[in-house]
Amino acid sequence: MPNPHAESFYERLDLATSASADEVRRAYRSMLRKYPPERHPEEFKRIREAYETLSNSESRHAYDTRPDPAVAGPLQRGMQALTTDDHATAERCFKQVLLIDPSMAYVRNLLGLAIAYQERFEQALEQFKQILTLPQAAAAWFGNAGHTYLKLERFEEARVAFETAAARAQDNPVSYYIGLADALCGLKRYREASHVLEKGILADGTVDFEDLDYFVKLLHVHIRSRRAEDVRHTLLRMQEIAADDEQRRLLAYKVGSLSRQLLHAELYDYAYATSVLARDLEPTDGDYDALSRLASLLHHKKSAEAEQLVAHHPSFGVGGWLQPTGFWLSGHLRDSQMYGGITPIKAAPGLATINGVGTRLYGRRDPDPENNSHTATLFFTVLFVPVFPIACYRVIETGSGQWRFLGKMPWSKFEKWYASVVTLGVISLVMMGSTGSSGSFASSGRRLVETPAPAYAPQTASADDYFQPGNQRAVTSFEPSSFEREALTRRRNEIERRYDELAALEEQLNEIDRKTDAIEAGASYISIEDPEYGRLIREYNRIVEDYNLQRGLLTTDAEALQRDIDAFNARLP
Amino acid sequence: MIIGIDLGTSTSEVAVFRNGRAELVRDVPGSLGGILPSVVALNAKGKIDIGHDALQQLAIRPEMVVQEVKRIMGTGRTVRLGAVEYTPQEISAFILRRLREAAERCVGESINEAVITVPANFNDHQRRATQEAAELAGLRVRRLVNEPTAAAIAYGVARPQAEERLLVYDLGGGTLDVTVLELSEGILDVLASAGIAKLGGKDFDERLIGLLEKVTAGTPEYDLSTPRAQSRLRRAAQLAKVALSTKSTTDVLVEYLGLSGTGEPLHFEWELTRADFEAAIKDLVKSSLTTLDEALAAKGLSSTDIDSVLLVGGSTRIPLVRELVSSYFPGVPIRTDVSADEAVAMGAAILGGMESGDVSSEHTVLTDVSPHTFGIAVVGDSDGEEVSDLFDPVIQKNATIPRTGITTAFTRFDFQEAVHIRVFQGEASHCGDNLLITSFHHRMAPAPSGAEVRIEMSYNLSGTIDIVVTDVATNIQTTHHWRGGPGNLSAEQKAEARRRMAEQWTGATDHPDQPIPPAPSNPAEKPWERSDLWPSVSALHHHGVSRLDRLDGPTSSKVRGLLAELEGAAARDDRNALSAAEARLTDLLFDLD
Repeated sequence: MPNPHAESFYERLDLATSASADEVRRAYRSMLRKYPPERHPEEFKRIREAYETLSNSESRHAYDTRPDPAVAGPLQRGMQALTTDDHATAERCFKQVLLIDPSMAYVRNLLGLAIAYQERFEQALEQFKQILTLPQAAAAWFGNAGHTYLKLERFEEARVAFETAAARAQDNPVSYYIGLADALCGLKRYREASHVLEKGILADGTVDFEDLDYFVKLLHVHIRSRRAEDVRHTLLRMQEIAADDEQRRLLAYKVGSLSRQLLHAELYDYAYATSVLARDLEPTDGDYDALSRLASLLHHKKSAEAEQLVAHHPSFGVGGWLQPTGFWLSGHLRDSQMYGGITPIKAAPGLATINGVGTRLYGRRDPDPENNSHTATLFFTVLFVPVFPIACYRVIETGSGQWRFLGKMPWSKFEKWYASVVTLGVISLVMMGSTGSSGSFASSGRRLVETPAPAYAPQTASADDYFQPGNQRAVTSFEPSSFEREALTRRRNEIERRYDELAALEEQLNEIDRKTDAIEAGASYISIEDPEYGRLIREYNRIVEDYNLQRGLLTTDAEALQRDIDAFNARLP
Repeated sequence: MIIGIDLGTSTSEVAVFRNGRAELVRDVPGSLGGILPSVVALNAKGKIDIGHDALQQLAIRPEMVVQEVKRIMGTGRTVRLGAVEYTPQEISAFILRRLREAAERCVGESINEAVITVPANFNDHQRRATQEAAELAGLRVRRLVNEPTAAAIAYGVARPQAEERLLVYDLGGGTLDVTVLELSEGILDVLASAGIAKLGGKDFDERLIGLLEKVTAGTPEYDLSTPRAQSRLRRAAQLAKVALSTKSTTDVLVEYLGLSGTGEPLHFEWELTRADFEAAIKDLVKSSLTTLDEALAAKGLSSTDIDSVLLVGGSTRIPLVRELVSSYFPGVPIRTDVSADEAVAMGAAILGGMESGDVSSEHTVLTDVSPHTFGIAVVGDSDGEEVSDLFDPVIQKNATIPRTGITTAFTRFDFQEAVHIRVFQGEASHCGDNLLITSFHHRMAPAPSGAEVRIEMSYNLSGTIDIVVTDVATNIQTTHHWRGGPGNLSAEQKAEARRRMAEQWTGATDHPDQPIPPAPSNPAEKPWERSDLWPSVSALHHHGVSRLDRLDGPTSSKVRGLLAELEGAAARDDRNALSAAEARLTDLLFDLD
């Protein structure tokens, strides 16, 4: 026979695929007489292999339902690519498999995943939808579809998918319940979301550390729905679930990380409450204590003290867990100085002087080089001499005596004082003026609007918008698109700067790697006791921890930024 | 002809297959009806005595007698006959040569191939030592077969219509072997084997001697310190053991076991009951039952899945053994109808007939299982920690053979130049606890770490292993043949053994130290037959072979030697050597006419 390996096990024994167990045995024996092992060892091996597989009902079933051998190669390569995050290759391989055998539903699920990992969520959904109607559809498939709907913010469909997944789950439904809670939050059905999570916590009859993921999500839900009392209550319950030091450490870290996110989102009261729990769980860890102090200071608007704390506490120093928070704070304080207290205006103020009498902008305070804006004061002038201030505005000078107004600013201390001193005098002047040239003054009431007409009504920021870390300012401006664009640009620049820092850390790691490799290459046996080697390894471990943390934070922030940019673009006409 | 030999711890037998059936060779000097005690002695004339002749020396010159040599086969230990040290291979060779010559006389032709039985759990060293013994005795081992399997063949052939699942319980002089097989109209499908390397009649003897020593200790005049007294006591114990298989009491009599105060010789005489004997050995026999568990568990069977139990081996004559085995298998017929001593040799002879083609596969087919697990050493990953020397099994114990198993490994380093393949035999998960049988290197094409290497291991019926290592990316292959261990004997030891064999042998006059023809790799076509040079000499060769059995000893050896030269030269494609051998053989045969 030309290629004996190509024949099926049934062919080797000269059997029909419907053969009974008895027929299999008889066929084996008659083949054995034809090809006894002493004289035909290779034939015998093939017969025996076929017999061993077909004579056992389990292995026979596995053989009967085996995948087409042609798909084995691409399937294996695809799985391999999936584990190495090479999603494009995985996608290609799974597609090849499905070309050969389109009925392999579990491969279609993998294809959907590979596509979803590449953020092509709509296309991923197309794959998932094809298999969810099958009777054997697995819980995980619904779960994957649910997460994809979440990404697309199609919360109602996500909710249905996760509910089905949870109902079909064989063992651990945690991720489905959490997905369901996310979907319900998206639908702003916070009460139901917290019900789902409470159900998950109590599912196994005990409240313990295994419920940690539920609890953390529950905190999210309560914070998003602004239920401070529930947040406090949940934190109290969480305190109870850690059974040993290891669990306490892990719990503190989870809660501490959440607290840091909340702080960056300027939700200082929640940041404080959560950091206090972290601190109480790990009283010896200075990081959580520092975080709670900072949250408290910011909550009470003591920015100067906050700056002091950040400048001197080691947790905010180089390599400290709160170093990113330090960066955040300096950016935040600068922003609040430049833009703090900014309020939207409906229209630009009139800027006109007739015969030197009228209104005019003076001053150039808190310049922001990134968007060229500064704070200026609108004065009432007589003979071009500023007589008394009317209001402060954040403006961008666009040249030839024209300005773009971003918003109205509160008084600076000096202006407050100045305004109160000069008011009396101004009143007399006006009275004088009104007697002398009231007609001409009245004509100054004609507004010479030089800024674009307002296109965008001021908005109040919603709790959800606040919650997203990175979406720190929900301030709208008179000219919203330009202001937001500037803010987004600034955030992007900041993130790029952090990426550069990350790259520097990575380079440090590589450098240590090269050194340890050199030591390893030169020795047959190396001990961690070796002082230089040990130092390098410890150094590496220290940096890699920081690196991983920074990278994690950065990824979150970058994702948040991307979302905001997308939302911004979507709002543009 | 390929003969079948049961080389036992206490007795050995040879059988031949002719006229469509196996028959035991009865006329073996030193034997009783073909049952040859595995005992070798050096007599006063400096010649070798075997069997009962050797046993006779035991009472007078015990230091010149060797028994139970099988127990130290392949261990590297030696035995003494007087002042001279012998390897166990040499001692076994004397026994094998006696059996070969008896078979040659029986069938009237010269014999140089045999199927020899070994305990199922013999390891590679022990199997290799058995082959070396056979070589010294002028025999090439065509196949080593497990003793219980051989017994089952004899049983199965006698029942061509049988359709049953059979368990063979083989308790011999030195080892216990259990084999489970399916019997179906002449097809014997071995399912599993298990065994204990050191459990048998000799252990029962020791217990009985201990018992007798305790009794004699009550009389200080008995002197057991001399080897002679010890060996007489041992003999008495063996006789008593045999007697108690049929009687409930027996008298143990050892004469001249000391002197009384008055100088009169003292004889030891004591009545031993079966109950005393059974009490002394019960724990040993019971320990054999765990081996039954093991053999059944290997294929997920229980005692109720067995249709018949076959008892083989001299020690299964002990009533207590039968009792315990039959209580393990309630309601299952216990068969003793193959002769316990003869069945193994007969089965081996039938297998010899199967190997030579004398037994048709229409009539009988045997499948066998691997006696051990074979695999390679790999570096494993345990929670990110590298663990070296992990055992990766490729051919499992009790897997039907011949068999090819495949495993895959990956290179550890970038541009790794070679992989070191180390082949182990054993059941431990760590290679250090298994037996290294061979190792070699396979060169790799330069590639980043993680390059795939496929290792294909084929276990052949002859007990040899072929290993093919493939660099999957480039398809570069290394083939390694393992033909059994390097052997335990050095070239000098072999030469010395041959010299002594010639000097001390008292049997027939031929010289088994002639080289044995090299083993054919394929029974259907011998390697020299593939040579382009072969057709020119095949007629001469055929003629020489046909003349062999009509020649006297020395001439026959010469002809055999030249035939082997002819074959070797052709296999090597060595034209000069071939024509030289051709010329000499032609001359020799021509001169005979």
